[in-house]
Amino acid sequence: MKKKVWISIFFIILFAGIAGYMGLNYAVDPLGYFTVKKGTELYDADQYARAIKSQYVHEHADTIQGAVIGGSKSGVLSTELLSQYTRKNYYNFYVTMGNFADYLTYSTYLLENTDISELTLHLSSFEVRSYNRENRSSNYKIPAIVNGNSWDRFTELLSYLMSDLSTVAETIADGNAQDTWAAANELSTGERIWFKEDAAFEKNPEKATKSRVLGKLEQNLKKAFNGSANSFPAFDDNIAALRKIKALCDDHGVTLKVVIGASFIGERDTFECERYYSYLSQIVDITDVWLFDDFNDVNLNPYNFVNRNHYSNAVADLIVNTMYGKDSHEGFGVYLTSDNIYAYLDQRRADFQRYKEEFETTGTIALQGMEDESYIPRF
Amino acid sequence: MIFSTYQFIFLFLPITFAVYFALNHFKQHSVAKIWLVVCSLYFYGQGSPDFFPFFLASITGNYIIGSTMSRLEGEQSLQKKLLLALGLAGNIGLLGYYKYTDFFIENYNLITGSDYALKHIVLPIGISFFTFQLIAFLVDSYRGETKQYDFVNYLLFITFFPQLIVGPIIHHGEIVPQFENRENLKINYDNLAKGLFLFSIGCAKKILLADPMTTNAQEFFNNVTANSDLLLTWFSSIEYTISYYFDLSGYADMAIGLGWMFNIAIPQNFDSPYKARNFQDYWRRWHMTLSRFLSNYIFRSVYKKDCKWRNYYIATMVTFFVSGFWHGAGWTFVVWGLINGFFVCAASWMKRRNLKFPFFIAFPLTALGVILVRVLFVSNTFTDAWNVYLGMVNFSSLGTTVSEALSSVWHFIIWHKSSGLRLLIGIIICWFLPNSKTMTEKFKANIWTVLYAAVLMLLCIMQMNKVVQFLYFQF
Repeated sequence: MKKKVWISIFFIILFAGIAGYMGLNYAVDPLGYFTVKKGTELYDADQYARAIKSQYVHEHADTIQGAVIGGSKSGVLSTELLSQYTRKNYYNFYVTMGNFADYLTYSTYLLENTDISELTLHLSSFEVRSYNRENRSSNYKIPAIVNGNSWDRFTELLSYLMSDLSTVAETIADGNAQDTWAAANELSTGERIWFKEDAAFEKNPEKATKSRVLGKLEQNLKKAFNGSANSFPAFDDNIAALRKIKALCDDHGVTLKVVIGASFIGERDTFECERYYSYLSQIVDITDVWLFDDFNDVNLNPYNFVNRNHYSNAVADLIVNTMYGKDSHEGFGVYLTSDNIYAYLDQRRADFQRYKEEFETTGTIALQGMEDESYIPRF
Repeated sequence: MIFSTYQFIFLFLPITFAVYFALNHFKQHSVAKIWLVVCSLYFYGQGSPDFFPFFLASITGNYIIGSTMSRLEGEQSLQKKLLLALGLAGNIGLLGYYKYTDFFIENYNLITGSDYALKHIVLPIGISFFTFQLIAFLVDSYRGETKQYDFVNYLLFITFFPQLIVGPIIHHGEIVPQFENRENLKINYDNLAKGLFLFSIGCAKKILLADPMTTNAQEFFNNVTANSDLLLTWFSSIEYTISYYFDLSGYADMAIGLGWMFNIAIPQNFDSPYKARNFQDYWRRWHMTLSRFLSNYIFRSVYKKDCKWRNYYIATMVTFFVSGFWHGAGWTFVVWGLINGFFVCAASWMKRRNLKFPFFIAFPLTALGVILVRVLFVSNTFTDAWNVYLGMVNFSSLGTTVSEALSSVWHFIIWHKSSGLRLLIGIIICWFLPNSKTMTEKFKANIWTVLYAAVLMLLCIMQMNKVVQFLYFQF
């Protein structure tokens, strides 16, 4: 074969393949980009939520007066309740795989593009593991709508026509159409709806909780009490980002409320340690915090969680009600300030030690059941 | 900008290539060279815009010093020595400032108990590589081994974009004559096909193998804890070792392939290093252009025959000390370099005494040594490295009974089936398949090679949305 022919065939195969691949991406739409462009109210929360929500905020900027920013846990914070208590029209701008880089980006976007007067920043404790989503997700770029020009939007379109092969393959393998309901978002409120999880729980709470919440519990507890969480690569970056968010809110005359959400005890291997306590004290140095992620009995009850890392809508409502003094559950939620943080941390250390001893003696931790008061009824 | 991006493949490369050869076609050879320099500078400026003015000043300053030294006669040796010292101080000073400032502050603080704040200076891309090339140019100018290069040819030697940021470390003597050769100024379809073939292989090594493996392994090494799991520790250590090779050699293949497209032969950088029988052999096959530089400019400066204090072993240890320090501003890198040096000395000592392990021992022993020293290289601290080594013998993590251990292994395999398969493919390629140099040498234009290259390239393009930066960018 002549070299010219070889080169020609090389490029013919290449460009034909690229054209076919673009068509496949458009049809499969693994990140939901084209689906939403076509118009939909419900979409998979794990898809292109950041851009979709940014677009929504862009179009409804004058109606949004308060916003939730946070990771996937915060998706269940009710905007209806928040709006009711604050008398501000709230929007839930939660993002999956929450991290401080995104919180800073989208807080800035909201502050600069809307007239919000209150920002509720929800932390999931898990953020200490990674400052941003680079290397954790195929789609970590900031959407062009947030910070780009028309050229950026064009290249963004191209990049979605060329979404990476593994994402397309996974979407086809997962059966995208059926799973759109797995963890959908309501675009007009930004909230997460646990269709699949709630349906499974309603049908058989024991089975759902065992499979989704309690898997590998002992292994995770073992890691937690061995202090395996001690490496926090994102510690300094997170604190710096929080300072920036606080400063931005102050500059815009916006009230910043920080809440650290509930966390199942089986999740502690990812953060519970001295370094996390130091992290908490630095957060409180910047701003007061509502904290729900400690050793309270709600967190010891697996039925309050839809899976290992996410609490239920009922717990979310209790969090909001507690923050606004409308309801309470003993031991659940503490308002941390620079005056009480160190006493609180001493108490938390003592609790940790107590549970560690229990684990070392019994090989597990006694959890609460559905009949217990610590269960916050879901339905 | 890196090679494995849409921006490079669909915009930068075709435009640079087309205009370069179009200008040459219309006999505008000088303009074509200037075009290639401008493109290369743009390529560099995209990655390190803040450092760009210093980069320009540095290469211009080195040219002036080098050319002046070339003009000076033998009797003016004092001036030459002064100029050489000035040039070396400038290059090493710039590298030292950008790369080692925090390292020195940290150590000064540690020794004196002071608390000077770290500077957190961003390392300009490629500084470690082009600094070596500039030093080689200066030393050769001092030795009278360079001729009076035209400034544009000199600029091309330093900035030619395929090799600019991660090597291979080229020598002026092998590159400048190629740019001066008129035969190389027109499109050569043999070279173009060979270049596309090699570029596709390199891209596949990087995107299909190195990136996913690196992401996996770095997740482990960034979160090392005490009581690490034995299986995960071994898996991640081997995975990083293999991914590191594919990352570097993938880049080198792409660079050499790009060189072929422009009719420039860039030297080979890897020769199946994991097939080595001992560490001496390994370093002959691993990052060959770096070894060549260190051998020519460090080892030979230290080594002196029949001098007890400058014997082979001392010179080797000094060379590997420099190599370790060059790889990273940290004591882990220095110790990594010294351990490598020790193993090379041991291999040399055995060779001189005709001691030889049989192949079935030498080969796995070398592979094991490579994995163990790579752990030190990738670990953020000595404590992390120590925890990894402890994890490698943490048999209790498998369970307390044989059935528990078997169950742990089984679950590990199930849990890591896709990454395990990828790693297995990587190991097979490293140990049993011909390397890209051999494949390029045997390259024949037929339907199979075009299918192979085009499909690899297509698969890479489909994965290009999540490309990970090249590991050597940090050096």
